[in-house]
Amino acid sequence: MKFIDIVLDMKDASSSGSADDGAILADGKKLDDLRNALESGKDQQQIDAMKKVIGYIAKGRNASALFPNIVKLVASSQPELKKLVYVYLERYAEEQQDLALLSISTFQRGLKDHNQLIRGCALRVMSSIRLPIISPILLQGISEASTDMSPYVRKTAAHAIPKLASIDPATREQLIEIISRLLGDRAPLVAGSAVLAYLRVCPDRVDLLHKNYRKLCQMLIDVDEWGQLRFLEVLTRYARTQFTAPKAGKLDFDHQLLLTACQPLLLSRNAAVVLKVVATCQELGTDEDIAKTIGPLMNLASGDRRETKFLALEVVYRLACSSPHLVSPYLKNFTIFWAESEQIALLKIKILTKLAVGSPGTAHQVNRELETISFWDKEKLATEAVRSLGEIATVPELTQTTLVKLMTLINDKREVVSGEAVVSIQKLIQINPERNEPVIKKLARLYIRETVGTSNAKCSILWLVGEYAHFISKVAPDVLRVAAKAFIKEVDEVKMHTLTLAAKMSVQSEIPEQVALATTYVFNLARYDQSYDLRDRARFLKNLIFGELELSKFSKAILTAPKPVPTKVEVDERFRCGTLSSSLGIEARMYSALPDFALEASPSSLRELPKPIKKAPAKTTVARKASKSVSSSESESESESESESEDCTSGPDAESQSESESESESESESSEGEPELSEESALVKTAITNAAEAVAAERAPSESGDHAVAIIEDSSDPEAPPIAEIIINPDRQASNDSSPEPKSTVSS
Amino acid sequence: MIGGLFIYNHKGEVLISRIYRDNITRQATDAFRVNVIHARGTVRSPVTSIARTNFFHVKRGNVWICAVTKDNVNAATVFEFLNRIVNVMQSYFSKISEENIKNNFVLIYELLDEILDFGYPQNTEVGALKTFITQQGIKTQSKEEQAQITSQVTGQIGWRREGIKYRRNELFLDVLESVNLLMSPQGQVLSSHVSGKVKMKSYLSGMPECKFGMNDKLTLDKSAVTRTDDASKSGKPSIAIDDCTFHQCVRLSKFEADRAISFIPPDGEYELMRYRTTKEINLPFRVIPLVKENSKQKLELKIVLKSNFKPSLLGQKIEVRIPTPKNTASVQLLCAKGKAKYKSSDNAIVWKLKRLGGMKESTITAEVELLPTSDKKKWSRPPISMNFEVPFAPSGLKVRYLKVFESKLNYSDHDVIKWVRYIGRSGLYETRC
Repeated sequence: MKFIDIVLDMKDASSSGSADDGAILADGKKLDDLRNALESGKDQQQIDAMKKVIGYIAKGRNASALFPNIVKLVASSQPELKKLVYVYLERYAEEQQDLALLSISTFQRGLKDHNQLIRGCALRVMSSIRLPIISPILLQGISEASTDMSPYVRKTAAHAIPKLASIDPATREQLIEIISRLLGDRAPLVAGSAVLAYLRVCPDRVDLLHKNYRKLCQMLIDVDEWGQLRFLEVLTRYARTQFTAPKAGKLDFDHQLLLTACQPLLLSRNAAVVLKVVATCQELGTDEDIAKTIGPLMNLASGDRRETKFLALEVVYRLACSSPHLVSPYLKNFTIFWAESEQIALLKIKILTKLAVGSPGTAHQVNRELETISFWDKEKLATEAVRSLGEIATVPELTQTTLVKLMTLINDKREVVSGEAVVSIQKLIQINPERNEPVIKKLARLYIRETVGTSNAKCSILWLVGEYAHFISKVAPDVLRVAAKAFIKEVDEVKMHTLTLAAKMSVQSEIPEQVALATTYVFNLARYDQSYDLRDRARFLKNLIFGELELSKFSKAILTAPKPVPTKVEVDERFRCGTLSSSLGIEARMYSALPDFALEASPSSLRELPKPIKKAPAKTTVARKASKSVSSSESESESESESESEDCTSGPDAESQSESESESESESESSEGEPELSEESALVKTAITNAAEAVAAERAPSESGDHAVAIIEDSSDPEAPPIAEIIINPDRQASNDSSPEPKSTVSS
Repeated sequence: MIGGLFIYNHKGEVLISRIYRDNITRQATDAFRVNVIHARGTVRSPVTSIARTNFFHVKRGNVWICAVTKDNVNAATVFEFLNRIVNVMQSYFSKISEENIKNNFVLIYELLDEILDFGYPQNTEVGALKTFITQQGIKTQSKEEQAQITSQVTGQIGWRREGIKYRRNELFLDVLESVNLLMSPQGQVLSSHVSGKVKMKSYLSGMPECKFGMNDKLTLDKSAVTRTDDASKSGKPSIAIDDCTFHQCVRLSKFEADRAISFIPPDGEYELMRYRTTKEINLPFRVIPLVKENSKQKLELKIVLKSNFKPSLLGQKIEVRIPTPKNTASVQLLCAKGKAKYKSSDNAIVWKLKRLGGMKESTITAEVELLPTSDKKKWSRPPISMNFEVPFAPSGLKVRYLKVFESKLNYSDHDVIKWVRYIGRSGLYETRC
């Protein structure tokens, strides 16, 4: 109920008066008002009313009651109104399928419009209305548009393909055919979308790519930024399945082609493109290629946008784990600013740690930085820093220097920090107890002097002393003495550990008298303690050690059994770098793993363009030579001057070629396609005519007559060209233009 | 890809909702509001996963823009796209605010239709969009305009339309830099970098071809090799650019080959390039802190601010933020220049100077009295941060030339009026103490 009482359209003068009473759409009067406005036949009123309706939708309210009134407006000549109606249709068409069919005929007409924007728009909206029943019409529309003269329309066709595939999976085969045609398109605008369609509909059909691979590589720099992302995805997958794993200096010609082609994209303004190139180089390239990407990656990682910074740092983290020597020169970039957000700071600490572990030369600097942070007033960062110090200390040559720092941190006033320090030390000692004997002693002395403040730290020390009592046989009894003395003042946790310590001490081979006395004292105190757990534990241990049970023989073995060393949490490398799944750490829907490199590279003859006249599969060696010279000369010309290459991609010959293609195609299709369509979608068409008639009847009194007739006739046979002409003509005259050329495709 | 896009105001009310995929339900809008916008106290992660539905958000002013998806997407793409939407909206109605979004929701729907088809990002170039989506709604276009759109939508140069004419051909070039610095208490630079951008406003007729040159070390070295006699030039200071990115209009392959920046500029305002340098940065200010903890109840702070640039220049909008312990009772301040104030809500002393000349020094001393607390912990001494603005580029970048060539219309490089401005601002500028 919160967001209902706001009038959305402030500009709308007519609604300003009824801000409160008109808020609820279910209100009959309001609904009638809107309906009247929509039926008024006056453009401005209709537009105002439509704006209001869209406003309601934006607020999440149901405006489906107006569907019959609005669907009629789709034939309006007013482009602004049309746009609004499209927005409405996309939202409600699924709920009111029968009525939505009324609009289809208008779109079909739109597909034949002389203006490419309208053709494109019609196809886009038609494919966005998700009605399974129109899939044959849509398929026809897409296949026609895919051979359109205008690249814009062809692009829209490519975009419509995944939509249709999701509505009606049965059309997949035909769609793949169209995709294979579009992949060969030479306009960069189309190629970006064609690749998208390929990715969504048939990412496993590698055979479609063979012939286009080189062309796509060369086009990479010309397509728009979003297209570049898809290109890289497709090409990466292709390369993984076709080429063998990279070895320096021995790359397949085509493999190298892709890596070279994506180099310039590292300068792109779009952070996503840069990150994608980085990922591509990691997935396909040699170390050399990866090294080239580091600079741009660091730029993103120290940029000023929080989100991209975070993602770039994640990539850096991965890299720091796998090859720290590449990242370590940029160490300074990861010093932590006070004002930085917590996630970024945490990630930086993780990276620093990996660097110190991976390339010990940096450890000194990292340690100092981490030490600084451990004093900060931000607990989460401080604890993470301490934990990281602990991790660094596991590297043998760094243990001594790092341990000193950790020891000072034990006395930190913040429980979490000191606890973390002791836990880190505990881990260290567990890994190599013999070497760290002095450390245990030092800790024990700290305890004896009662300078350990937090209970967490106390617990850890008591446990350590108990565990390694045989190393420090002189100090251990003293620790027990102090612990026994302080027993009554301690919290349950510490009491429990004191008890364990006493038990462990008493099973040692030779025990001094004092230890035995202290043990009995502790057990007696524990027996009458308030805590159930403690009493229970005391009883259990007492019976185990001093009892007459069969088990008591093994009490020493039980209590001093070797404990498993804590293992490090390894990096999560299950998911591909840069994907959502890897950010979240769980697999997201539609995640597709990266295919492994091929064991054997596919022959490069696959990727050569067929000779226009004859196809000679037998003479592969000759063909390979020829094509190599061709492609090298091509790349030369491109590097010489880009304007030249631009010319040859978008130049007149490409246009004319596609034009002639489209003409011949459309001719052949008009001869074949028409009867096919009428058979297939007879049902649809009757539905359309029925509905159209109903609406026309309803609308007849309010509308001028000839318009309605036009709709009926047109929808009864949408393919007939003369009627299409008639309908187009008034529109054109309304915009008062006399156009000399544009009827070419339709009227022929 | 993107399954839906929502825009919320600061209260979490939905302003715009556009759903592209069936698997995103309208309940998702509520889930985001409850779990992210209304979440208290926690630091919000830019990516949130709620019941297997993933939300990516950016916040601009009071408005939340959120993309929803269930699929595995490239996270960087989504954020980049959200940022682009923000840019597009800004160019249409200047500031992104609740009010503006409500007033323009029809426009936003149209834009979303154009730039996000079925959840896939499309051409987001503002120049191109503005030709066919206007704020007044769609105009009935004349034949000429339609032809223009055609070339725009289909052509190679998506960012500029043909037939632009100005009476005065003008160019404005802004070099904006932000300096980031982290200094240790001993005055050692722990980390420093400059991230800069070159912004350009161009009002040029026709289809001009531009060439941009700066004192980049690599370029200069290259030209020095070719012209060995020109030894005097190499004496000029040059800078090493670590990394740069360019606007779509710059020919990347040409830059790759010989580091020449040539392009056909979009009309109006845009960002030509971004760059980053880490070496030989001229740090405009230095903060030298001195902290004396006299007793448990008293603290003495003395901070010296030194400006380190040409005496003829003036630094502006200088603000130094000196943190104090949480148990501060009272503060006595003494400063020769500017105004200083203790802000108890931020636990900090804020010292403001309207301007400060180059090579000057200014000092502030503060006596802080502390309340006795049970907390035995030592004060953690957060770093001193500062903000400023200076009229030069701290990286040392200089624009060497910007040449304009237009072969068809008869104006030459000399007729173009060019303005260049350098502004250096502080990014994160911290001195630990």
